[in-house]
Amino acid sequence: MKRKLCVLFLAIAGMVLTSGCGAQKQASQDFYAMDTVMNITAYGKDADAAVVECVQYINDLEAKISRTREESEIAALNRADGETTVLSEQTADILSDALTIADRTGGAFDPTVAPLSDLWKIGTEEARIPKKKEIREALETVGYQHVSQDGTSVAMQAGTRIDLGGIGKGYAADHVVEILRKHGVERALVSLGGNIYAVGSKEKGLNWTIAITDPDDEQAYLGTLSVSDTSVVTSGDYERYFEQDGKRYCHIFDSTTGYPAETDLRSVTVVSPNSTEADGYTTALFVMGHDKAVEFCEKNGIQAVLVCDDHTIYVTDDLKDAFHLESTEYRNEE
Amino acid sequence: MKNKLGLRPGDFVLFALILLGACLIWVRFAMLQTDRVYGEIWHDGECIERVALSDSYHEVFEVQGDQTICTIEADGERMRFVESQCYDHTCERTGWVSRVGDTAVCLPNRMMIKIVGAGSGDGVDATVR
Repeated sequence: MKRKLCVLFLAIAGMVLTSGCGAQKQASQDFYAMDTVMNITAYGKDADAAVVECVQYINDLEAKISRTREESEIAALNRADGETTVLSEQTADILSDALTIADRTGGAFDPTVAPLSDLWKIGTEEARIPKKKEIREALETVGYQHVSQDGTSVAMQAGTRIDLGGIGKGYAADHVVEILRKHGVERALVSLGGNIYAVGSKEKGLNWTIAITDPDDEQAYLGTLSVSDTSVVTSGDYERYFEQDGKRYCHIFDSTTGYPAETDLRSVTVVSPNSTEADGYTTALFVMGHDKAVEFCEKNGIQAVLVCDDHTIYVTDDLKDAFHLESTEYRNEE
Repeated sequence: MKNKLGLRPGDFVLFALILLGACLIWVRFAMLQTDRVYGEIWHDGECIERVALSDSYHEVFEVQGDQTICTIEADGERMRFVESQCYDHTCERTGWVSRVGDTAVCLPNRMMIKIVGAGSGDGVDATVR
């Protein structure tokens, strides 16, 4: 009996010694999609299969909603020239989300700014300031009100063009998280071009630490957010832009003026378990500017961090405990 | 031959094997969890270069991307895109990357540089840009 106990003890001792090596299986993949670099890192027994399915999902979604791929549904819709187009349920779903956010934000987020993007060409070597007449003409086709959707049937005013880039990554993130959970993944970091979804919490139940880029120095961060089971999305004027005569023109358009948003904000970060909404709201709040953005957040219960051009940072009340200011170049708004 | 516990010589061999196995596994994982920092160059989702970074390390890489050649510099424990000849030059503006987990990307060339290692050190898990 003693002998058996001794053997059992040693076997357990061996297992304890090696228990630290029994960490959850990790699967991680970097890949390019939606004109950006993405990474999904998941932990769990079925993590490999989960990540493969997520990448496949994003590639399939991009094939449907990319407006630059001729064979995509959105490209077909943009060519319809006023005729009704029938979309797949998935494409209709994301378009419906985009129109809903556009309506809620009074057009501050607008999925029909494609004619403006095409005119200004910001982010390409042909970026330029268009003539006022060109902007006026483009504006005649811009406006989410020009789009009418009934289920999967969509009709648009001739010349109006849809670009779902403003919520595509958020929509993808929400559905990737569903796929991960279906595979039993309880812990993951989904980074779709800087659009982060922190699934579950870290080991030992700790929150994830997500840094917010300093708009003046992309390799530094101005602060961190301590979060779990939510998405964190940022929009700013520092990623895609061009400068002329000392003025910066960013890639986020104001659909009322036809010009890149002229705002007192440098970046907007929204925290929400609904990444589609977070994606749309970052753009909308950026276009609104500080005062309207603060009012909109308070009215709609949006959790956000607004970085102003005077280096002050506004943090909504329910995020104050989660936000930690790191940079001495910035100060919290009083 | 038996001792007070009633153990046989074979039992001691078994114990020794269990302990040896445990030690070997522990050493293997301890080696994997080194503090060493590496710089990686990825093209189109594939790691094409991995170098151990250290204070005295310096090297310049010229790598063919999808559209143009990217010039990448590794200096000490940091890396950067020196020149990409692409249209937006976002990668060049990104500057040096030095924290574990940091990346810089040249999208037109589908090229990425990445700092990897045991942990980010500063506790940051991801960065929103």
